[in-house]
Amino acid sequence: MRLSRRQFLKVAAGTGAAVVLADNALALQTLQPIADLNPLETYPERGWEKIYRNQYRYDSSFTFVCSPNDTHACRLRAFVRNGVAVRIEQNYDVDRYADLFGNKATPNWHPRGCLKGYTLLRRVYGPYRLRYPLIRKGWKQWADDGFPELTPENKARYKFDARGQDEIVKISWDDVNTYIAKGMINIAQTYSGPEGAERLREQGYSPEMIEDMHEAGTRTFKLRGGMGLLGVFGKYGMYRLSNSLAILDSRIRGVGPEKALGGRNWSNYTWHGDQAPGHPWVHGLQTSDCDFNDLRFSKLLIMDGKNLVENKMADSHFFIECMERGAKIVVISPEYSPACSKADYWMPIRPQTDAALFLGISKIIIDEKLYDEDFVKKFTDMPLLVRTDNLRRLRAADIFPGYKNQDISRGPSYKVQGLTDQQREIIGDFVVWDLKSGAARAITRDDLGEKMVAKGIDPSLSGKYEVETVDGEKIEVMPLFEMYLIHLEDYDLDTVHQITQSPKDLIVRLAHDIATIKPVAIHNGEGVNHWFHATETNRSTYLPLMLTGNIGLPGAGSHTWAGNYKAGLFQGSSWTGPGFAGWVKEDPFNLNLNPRAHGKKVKVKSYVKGEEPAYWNHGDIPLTVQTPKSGRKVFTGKTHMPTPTKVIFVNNVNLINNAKWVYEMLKNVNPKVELIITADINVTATVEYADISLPANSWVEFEGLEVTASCSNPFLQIWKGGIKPVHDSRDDIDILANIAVRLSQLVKDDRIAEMWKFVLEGNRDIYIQRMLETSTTTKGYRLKDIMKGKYGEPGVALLLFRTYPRVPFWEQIKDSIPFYTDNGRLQAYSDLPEAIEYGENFIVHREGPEATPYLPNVIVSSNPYVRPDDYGIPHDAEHWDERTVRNVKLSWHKVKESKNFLWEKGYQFYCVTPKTRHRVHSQWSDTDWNLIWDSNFGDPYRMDKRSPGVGEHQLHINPQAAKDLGINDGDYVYVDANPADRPYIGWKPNDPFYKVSRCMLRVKYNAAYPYNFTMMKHAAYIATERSVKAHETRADGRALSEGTGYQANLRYGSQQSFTRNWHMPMHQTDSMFHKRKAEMAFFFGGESDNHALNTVPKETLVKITKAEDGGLGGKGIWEPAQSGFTPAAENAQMKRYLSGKFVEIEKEG
Amino acid sequence: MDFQARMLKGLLLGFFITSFLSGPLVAQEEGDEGLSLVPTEIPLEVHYIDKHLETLDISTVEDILFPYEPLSISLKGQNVSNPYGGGSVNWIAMKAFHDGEWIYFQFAWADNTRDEKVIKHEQHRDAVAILFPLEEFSEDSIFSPRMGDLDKPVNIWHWKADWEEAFKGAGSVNQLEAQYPDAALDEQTERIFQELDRSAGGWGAGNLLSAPSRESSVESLNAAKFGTLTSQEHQDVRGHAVWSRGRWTVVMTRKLSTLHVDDTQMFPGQKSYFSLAVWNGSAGDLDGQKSVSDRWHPLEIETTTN
Repeated sequence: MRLSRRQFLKVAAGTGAAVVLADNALALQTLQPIADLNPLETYPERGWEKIYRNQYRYDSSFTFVCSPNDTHACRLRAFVRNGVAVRIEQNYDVDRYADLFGNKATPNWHPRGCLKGYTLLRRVYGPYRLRYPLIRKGWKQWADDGFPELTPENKARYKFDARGQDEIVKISWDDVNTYIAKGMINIAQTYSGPEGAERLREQGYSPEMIEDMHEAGTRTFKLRGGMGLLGVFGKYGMYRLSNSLAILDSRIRGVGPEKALGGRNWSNYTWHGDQAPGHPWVHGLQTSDCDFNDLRFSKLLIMDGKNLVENKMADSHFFIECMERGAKIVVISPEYSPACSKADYWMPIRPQTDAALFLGISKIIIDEKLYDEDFVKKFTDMPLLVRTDNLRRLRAADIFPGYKNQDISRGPSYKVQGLTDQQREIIGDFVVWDLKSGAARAITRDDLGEKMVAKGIDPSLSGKYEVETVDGEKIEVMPLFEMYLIHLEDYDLDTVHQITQSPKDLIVRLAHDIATIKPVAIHNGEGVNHWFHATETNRSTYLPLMLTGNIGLPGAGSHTWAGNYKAGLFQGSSWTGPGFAGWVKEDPFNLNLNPRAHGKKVKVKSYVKGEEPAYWNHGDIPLTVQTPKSGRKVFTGKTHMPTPTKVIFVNNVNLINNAKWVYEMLKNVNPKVELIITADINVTATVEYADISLPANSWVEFEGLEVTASCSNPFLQIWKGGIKPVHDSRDDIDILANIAVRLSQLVKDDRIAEMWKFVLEGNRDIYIQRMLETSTTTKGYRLKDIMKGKYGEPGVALLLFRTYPRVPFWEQIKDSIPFYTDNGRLQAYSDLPEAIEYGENFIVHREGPEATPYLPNVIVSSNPYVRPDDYGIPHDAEHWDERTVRNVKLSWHKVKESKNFLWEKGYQFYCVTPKTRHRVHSQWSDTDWNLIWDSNFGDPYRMDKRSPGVGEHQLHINPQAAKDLGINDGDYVYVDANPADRPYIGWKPNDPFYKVSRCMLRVKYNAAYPYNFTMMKHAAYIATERSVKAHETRADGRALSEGTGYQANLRYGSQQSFTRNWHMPMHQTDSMFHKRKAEMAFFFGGESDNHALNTVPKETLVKITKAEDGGLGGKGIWEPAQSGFTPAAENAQMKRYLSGKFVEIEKEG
Repeated sequence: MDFQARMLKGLLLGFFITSFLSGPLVAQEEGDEGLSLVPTEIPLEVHYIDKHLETLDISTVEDILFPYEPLSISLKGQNVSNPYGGGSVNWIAMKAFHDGEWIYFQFAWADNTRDEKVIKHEQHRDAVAILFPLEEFSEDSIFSPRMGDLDKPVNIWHWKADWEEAFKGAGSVNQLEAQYPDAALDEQTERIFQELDRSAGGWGAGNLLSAPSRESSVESLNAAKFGTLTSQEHQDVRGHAVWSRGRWTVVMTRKLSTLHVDDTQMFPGQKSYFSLAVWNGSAGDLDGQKSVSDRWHPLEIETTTN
């Protein structure tokens, strides 16, 4: 028998008080000689190890979905002890996920989850929770005083112009709902009718905005379910509330359902800048994205401004798998990103010149005849004839007298895609030059792929043809392919090299790789979508893929993931029922209150209209420019037109924090907004500047079921929490329902409350079942079965797609079903009047309106078929909107001689603001562990009390660039943009708010960044007036707001100090024909999250100046930068290591 | 054993030494610079003084012992095995008395740096330790004065400057709040998790180093050879210390006899032995890096009948 030392001592002690030295002999036998050199043998005591094993004990566990805006929606398991969730692990359950037909997901989805999910409990139990409802003292006083008119004096009196300095106080749920309801009723009344319109005119709103309200005060309400797919019922429920505001309108204006109008639904995806705005221009679909397990089929995987390593953490293993499966990996990015370290080659590139790169690659593919002519003819618009006179596509009705559109009513356009006769009339049929007949021939949107072949059409790709119009006019027409030969002359290798600064040999190599390897996939995300001309970059990525047939195949395509946006996962159709629309757009005047009614019986009517927060974010105005040539010109299409903003109600989104140009919003825009409400889990900057804040339950606290799904996997996820709410918080859906109840009581109309009947009765599952049974992707599922685990883990099932993994456009290629464009083909050309006017009918490279050394917004082209309108705006115009709309075409040799006035003034640094791996946008920005990891300056002990919290935000910069500016590694710097408008219009150096708003942060030398290129991760918690006051007055220096407990991540300002909103004209057309986002149907023009303004925060140039020394307490150089192991300060040993000389290999023998 | 094998063994030994706070004894490697098993001749006399102290107060102890000459003991760097070190403290002066129930040892040595703050990894404490055999031995059965031997367990009383300082409570330099007054730790969340039973890490395991509060500045340990150092479950030794003008004065006290088998047991009239070690934190002393008395010193406890 061998006893441990402690065991022995216990035995010996039990023998009594006598000192019995003889027993020591037993003890000594238990101690092994040190000569054994085995610590486990000689270690005297291991009983203590139990304590660590005990740490993993638990009383119960439950699964939930980690549902931030990251597209993964990982189901995790939480372990509970004594009622406290103590630990979270991944659930390893995906291999059991199944569908109605027995298909199962691959176990290769594992592992899932990431560091955010694992530290979630620090958010849930941490000190930064929103614990109870809050109300701003000034707003409450305004309400208590009977909502007097908000004159400038009253705005000051009730601190509408200084929300950030007001006191915020606790209020009960019951009282807060009354205040909300009263406020909404008052504001709707104030701005309803002709009197309301007159008030708005007097306040200076543009006539187009007022007109679009149609005199309904409820149209000044902007509601936003924060990335609603993250909680289809609680978050998207916001839009159900918005639709029900039509009842409020009907009571206020005394109108019936035919005239009543609900609120405006603010977007998410587009306003985040997450969408690839060029996608609808190419294929008519909101977005092309595949399931992540499709990556493994790629043989050439190109990340264009995409960082799959950092920004797709839960699923990035699929791209790593590509390496194991022999695929070639290419990364195109200005900086040597983490993804580059996995690449076969890295294509360095000047920011926002990707379109030039892909145009150059396409030229090589065409010149060397490496394209797939068969695919080009069958599936792209390259054979379609284009008129050289007006640059429109030639329509059959243009040249064939008495032409009537061919009957395709039995084809997929009508039967599958929901095309209407009216739409068909507008788009017409198209024309190709048929090589078989040697004549022009009409072609319909159904005539693609094998159907075109079956029809006996062999379209020409080349030549110039003269045709006579029905009016007798002779015009020249060309297949688009022929025109592209001309267009691409501007993008020869030398020119592309000069524009992009990419190495020539790599450009050629990538062209050859795309042409010779198949399948090819190009992945992008915020990296390119956040630039002003993302539309052109997105379109350009498709061009080489269209030329080589890399669309609609497993492992192929051009895809984007940024933001979990896809309401279309629950899309309705004529054969299933309303789907998602049955939830958010149930007709409040015709509610179906029968709990047993099938979802198909739900009547849908939209009283709402989508709108981009970007208009609020631009000063609450549309894009309107006084032009020398055309006078006052409104570039915002009617389908996009915003209304004045008087109520903002958001949930699950940090609207203020994540608004570009935020300090302009706080200073000059929000004083015009009369009620700002946010519902959230934590104390965010939005809480700091809201009138009312409502605490929401976290994902582990949900008291009823919630639903989510993802744009990057096929998993339907339904769950509820497993612990009691830690504070006085509620489920999002209950928050909305209870506000509706109070509204209903005050306006004496039960229907507003009845919108939430089953929620209020504790049976929200009825609404969930209705959606499941009427969506194309879930028809056939019963909620009860799913929750019983019939399809794997309880709460999970596979969405019903044609293919697993889901491959966009698989049907188009395999079944020759039209793409969602007017001509049914993949489009390299747009003949929309707007696109022609803006000079973007072809895919072109444009310099940005701000982030360029050259003439802002210039089009690089000498193509005679690019004929933009500059509206007479001079080249030296500096106003941001003038730069936005000025369309000047110049050849590259002229462009490179041109100047950007900002560059000349010293604003010579690009500054990109990507997502960090340690947070999900602004979520986790108050989680101590994540903040410690997030920068090189994480320090929970705050030895340098200048640090705002346990971490510090940082700007990555090229070491030589920093040295040239006299900036040491670790110094604090100011980051400034165009002083004409940032940080806010009208700032003065001595304005206290200017100090709050001017971005100051640490610098980190990083040799991965080129000279003029800097990077700051986005969505850090911004400095607010209260946080700055705290930082400057608290003994410990923390930027921890008094009253709210808000913890800023920066001492002063944020990245929003130098970003701004840009009203991109190409995002605002009325004429684009494309697919609705959540319905099998087409429409023209704008739809939020689909074809609408995308936020483009990367469109900025900054100047960087030193603010303070980085050393402790502001003295000297930051200590780690003196260690010899940091960039540009390497000691001899480090240099030896970097040069690979630590290991020297001797020659054998 | 070839050179490489000896180097490897040396490295591994070094690992153990630094890991387990022990002094080495590798008898077979004794040499001129090693240690002698022959005890010194002059004993430390533990005077009997019939004066019971209600509380342990160093100035009272100093007053009591004032008339007596100290025993000066030379120290030298630990020079037997890896990691070697110490040597910055050359002498220590000892006095002792007992009252028939309690025994008091007073240690005094010069140290210009007061190292009582041990928060950062690079901070080391000042300390002193006294080692007693658990079993009486004669010249025939004499063994190592360093950490005992396989069949010769020892009892060690280890006074630590940072533990002494920790009695100050919230204002102690060893409290995180005092060391980092501007820290922003999420204590709320930590408390929620720590207050759950069975989950508090070293504290839950009874590790004295993790204890949130202390009853003594002295840790009582056992060892039965290098690598076996073990803290006792019961802690009976108390201490008190002052640092003044470059000099530490430390008193350790315990009842002469206890009920515990792993404690050294003393009685009036007893003759035994002890050895010493002193750590100077500022000099980098840590674990096996220490100044040591390299021989046993005799200990004579005066009878109460004098």
